[in-house]
Order: sequence, then structure tokens, then C-alpha cells
Amino acid sequence: MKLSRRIKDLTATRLMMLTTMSAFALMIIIGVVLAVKSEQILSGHSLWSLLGSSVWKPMKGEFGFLAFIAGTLAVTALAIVLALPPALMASIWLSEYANSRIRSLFAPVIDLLAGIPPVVYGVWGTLTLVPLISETLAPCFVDFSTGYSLLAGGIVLAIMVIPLMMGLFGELFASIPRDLREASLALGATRWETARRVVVRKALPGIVATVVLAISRAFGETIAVMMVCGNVADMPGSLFNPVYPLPALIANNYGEMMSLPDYESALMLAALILFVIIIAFNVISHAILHRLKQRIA
Amino acid sequence: MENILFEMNTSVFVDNYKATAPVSCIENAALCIRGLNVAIQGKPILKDVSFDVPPKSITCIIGPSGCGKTTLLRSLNRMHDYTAGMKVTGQVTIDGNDIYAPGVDVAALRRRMGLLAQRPTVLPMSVFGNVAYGPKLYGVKRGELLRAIVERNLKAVGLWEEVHDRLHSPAGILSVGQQQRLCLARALAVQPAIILGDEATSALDPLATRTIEELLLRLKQQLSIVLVTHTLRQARRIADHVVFMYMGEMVESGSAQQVFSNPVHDLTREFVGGSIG
Ligand SMILES: Nc1ncnc2c1ncn2[C@@H]1O[C@H](COP(=O)(O)OP(=O)(O)OP(=O)(O)O)[C@@H](O)[C@H]1O
Ligand SMILES: [Mg+2]
Repeated sequence: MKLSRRIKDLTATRLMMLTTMSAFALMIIIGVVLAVKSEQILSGHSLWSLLGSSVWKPMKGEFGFLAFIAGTLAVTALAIVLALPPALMASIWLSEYANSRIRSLFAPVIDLLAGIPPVVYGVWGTLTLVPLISETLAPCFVDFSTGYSLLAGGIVLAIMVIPLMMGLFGELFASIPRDLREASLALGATRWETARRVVVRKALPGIVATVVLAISRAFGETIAVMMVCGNVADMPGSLFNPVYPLPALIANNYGEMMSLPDYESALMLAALILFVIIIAFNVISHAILHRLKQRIA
Repeated sequence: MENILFEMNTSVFVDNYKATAPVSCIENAALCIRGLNVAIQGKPILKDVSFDVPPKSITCIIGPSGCGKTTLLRSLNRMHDYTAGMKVTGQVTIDGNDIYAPGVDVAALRRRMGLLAQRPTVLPMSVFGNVAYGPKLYGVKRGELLRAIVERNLKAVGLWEEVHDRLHSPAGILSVGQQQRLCLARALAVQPAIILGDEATSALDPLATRTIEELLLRLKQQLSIVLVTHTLRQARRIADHVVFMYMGEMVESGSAQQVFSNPVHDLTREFVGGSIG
């Protein structure tokens, strides 16, 4: 009896450790495979010339990734800038002002929106957003835009991450003890002062973590962005110009260019770059989060 | 508090106050409670509670656990406003104004009453930030003034010696007893006219309890204090008036002297004698 319990405990511990480790190992394996496959292109070109150039002419053997990296960063940044304020405001309203009936009405809607496949957002973007930009919005600012643009990509992506953010913010604010709000209210604070100075403050580490998750999600989002952002390998110059993010590059070309070994290897390098950006980003945000948590306690 | 460091906002919290039905309460009562009923989802918690809180004195609310002491205290500064399904009827008047009348500025009302919750709850900021929270809301900006307010109130609750070298550490690292005193300092910093304390010394050792009790005895020269307490001995030590609650009803209220030594009601006699509760 005693022995069998110990064996069970030992097995369970080992098993749980193994699963954790294998997730970690999988990440290493992916990294290594991508690095090995990128070998070909890296042997012919210096890493600096690949990352520092924005000239992309595979047929002439020129592989500059700068425009793709810049495109990815621009679309992601725009999406987060557009999504964060409304997601935060709506979540604060839902948790601090709306009554529980409205809250319980909205929760499933938000989950539903978060569950809509990206391609649907892409189609919507193509059918309504792109013409809107090209016919109504762009003429106010520039001579000509097809509508397939950084702006379209940013807006579609923002609309996709808003439900994700709101779902997480909702749980976050719900987890903040009522006593804390009451402590503030009892000192004569209004509900807005309480929300801003106490609830949001207490939730700050969680808000940052949510934004990090949304950014990671936005980095990797492929299909919906690809459908509306124009896919032209130029440096992002204006909101109305097309951009070409890394995931779109890979998805558009992989499997078609197998005859050019350099090209295939370049796409692998694109995946590796994406991979490294996401890891670096997560490590940095983890450190920021850690310090933030300590400061607020 | 001796010298008033910032102008106290004594403006009336009622915008369009209409005289309500005349209530007979004792002269210049700090609070006058008449026919207060509180129910949640139709289930009554307080039934027709009436009593007066005399000015510049300590009124202790006693009674067995679950009799509605916390609920009563919280209805005095409208803390039930955001509890879904909670219904409050009856009258609570302060300076003759009904706090449940329409048009009452609830934030201004709450500022006049420092509520100390049963569980001490520090705000997610530094020790300094906690005490300065209220004054900052009311527009105190000068750092020098804020520091003076913080120091004075931390000294008043006997916390200054323990925390003066870590004013800017998160308040969450303080011990529970320290947090309880911090909450009191925070409430005093807005210069309330009334203090509502829900077992304000429950996490304190006898010495710290004594410090707080002495502070309350000093404070009652300027403000009115309503204190929920579990310990009858504490009520005996500091109460001027006692309200005895039982199963959501106010059984007896009167001077401490009278309630403790010559209670009218049998239940009160049993409770103060220690055979119930
Ligand atoms: N928000 C609420 N929802 C449902 N029931 C409640 C709520 N608040 C209080 N009650 C009920 O009202 C009754 C009185 O509670 P209250 O907290 O006022 O008691 P108390 O006298 O302060 O008790 P204690 O001495 O243990 O703190 C209890 O039966 C409690 O369950
Ligand atoms: Mg209680």
C-alpha cells in the first residue's frame, strides 16, 4: 500500500515533468530545424546584408528581409494601438459600471467574436474595409491607394485582437477583490477615480501580460492580414501603402519555389526571424512584468 | 486632530435636498437611523433598526456573529449601493439630511465618514500612497503638505516608528496588524466627521489595541465614532453608548452604563452576561 502510493506519486511527478520538458524540447527542435534549413542562404549571404536590405528579388538572388520585418512590426504596432484603448475602456465599463445582466450578456458575445476564424475577418476586410479605404478614406490624404494597405491590415488585426483582449481583461478585472474598490470608494473616490487609480493599477501587470499575448498573436496572424495588406515588399511609408509581413511572405510562397534552393532557405530564415522576434519579445516582456509586479505588490 | 492642515470640505453633500418627514432624534445627533431595513434578494438582513449616534462619543454595536453588524455599518455610508439585489429602505440622516435622498453626492458623503472594513484592505500602492490617497483626491498637491499629512496620521495610529524608513515600499508587505492601522491612518487623513469601524482592532495584539483605543478616546473629542466590536471587554472599556443587535433587529440601545449594568431586555442581559453569542 505504502509502496504503491509512493510509486504513483513518483510516476505522476515524472510524467508531469516530462510533458513540461517536451514542450520546451519542441521549441528547441523547431529553432534548430529552422536554423539548419537557413544554413544554405546564410552561407551565401551575410546575416547583416539579409536583415539590413529591403531589396527582395529572389530570381536575381537578392534576399533583403528589412521590408518584411518592418511590415510585421508596423501592422502589429498599429493593431495594438488601435485595439488597446477601446478594449480597455469597454472592459472597464463592463466590469465597473454595467450591471451583472449586461455583463453576462456580453461575455458569450466576446467569446464568440474571439472564436471567429481569421479568414472570415479577412473576407470582411476585403469586401468592406478595403473599398472604404480606397474610395473614401485615402482620397482625403493621398493621391491613390488600392485600399490594400498597412491601415487595412492594422484595422483587421485590431478588430481580431479586441475580443481576445476584452476576454482577458474581463477575467482580470473580475479577479480584483471587491474590498479594494470599496476601500477607495469609502475614502470618497468616485467610481471613475476608483477604476483608474485602484482597479487599473492593481490590474496593471495583468494588462501588460494581456497586451503581450495580443502582440504575440498579432505577430503570427497570417491569413486575415495577408488578404488585406497588399503584399508588396516595400518599406512601410504611409498608412495607405501596402506592406508585406513575414507570415504572409512564408504562406504566399512556401511550396512554390522549391526549385530555387536559396529561395526555400530564405523562407526558412523568414520563419526563423519570426521565431526569434517572438521569443525575444516574450523574454523582454517577462522581465518587465516581473519588475512591475514587484513594484505594485 | 489638532491643527487642520488642509481646508476641510464642509460643503453640504446634498444638491437638491428636500425636507423629509420630520424625525425625532436627540439633539445634534451625528447620525440618526430610523426604520432601517436591508434585504438581499428579498431576504431581510436588518429589520426596522432605529437608534441615534450621539455626537463626539463612541457608540459600540455589539451582537453575535451574523446578526447584521457589518451590514448595518455599511448602510451608514451607502456601501451597499453597488451590491446587486440589496435593497435599503428607511432613513439615515446626518445633520438632518437623509443620506438616501435622491441627489445626494455619495462621494462627498463618504468622505465625511471614514469606514474601516472588517478585513483591512490596503490599496495597491506604497504606504505613503495609501495615506495620501484621499487628500490627493481632494486636490492636495504640494509634496510638503502631503508628507506632513502622512506623517501626522501615521504617528497618530502608532505606525510611524515602524514604517518611516519604508514609506515608499508597497503597503502589501506590511503585517496584517500594521495594515489595519494603516487603514485607520488613511481614513483619518481625509478628516472625516464620523468614523465607522468594523472590528478595527481584530488583528492587533493587546498593546496595539490599547494604542488604537487611546487614539479613539482622543479622537472622540472632535468626531463621532461608531464601532462594531466582537469583544465585550472592548465595548466596556471605551463605549459611551451601546447598540445591541440580535438576528437583524436592534434589541436595545442606550448609554454603556445602562446597557451593561442594567439592561432592559432579557436577551441583552444574557449577551452581556456571556450566556449567548
Ligand atoms: N452580500 C450579501 N449577500 C447575501 N447575504 C449577505 C450579504 N451580506 C450579508 N449577508 C448576510 O447577512 C447576515 C448578516 O451579515 P453581517 O456581515 O452583517 O453580520 P455581522 O454581524 O457583521 O457578523 P460578524 O460578527 O461575523 O462579522 C448574514 O447572515 C450574512 O450571511
Ligand atoms: Mg461583520
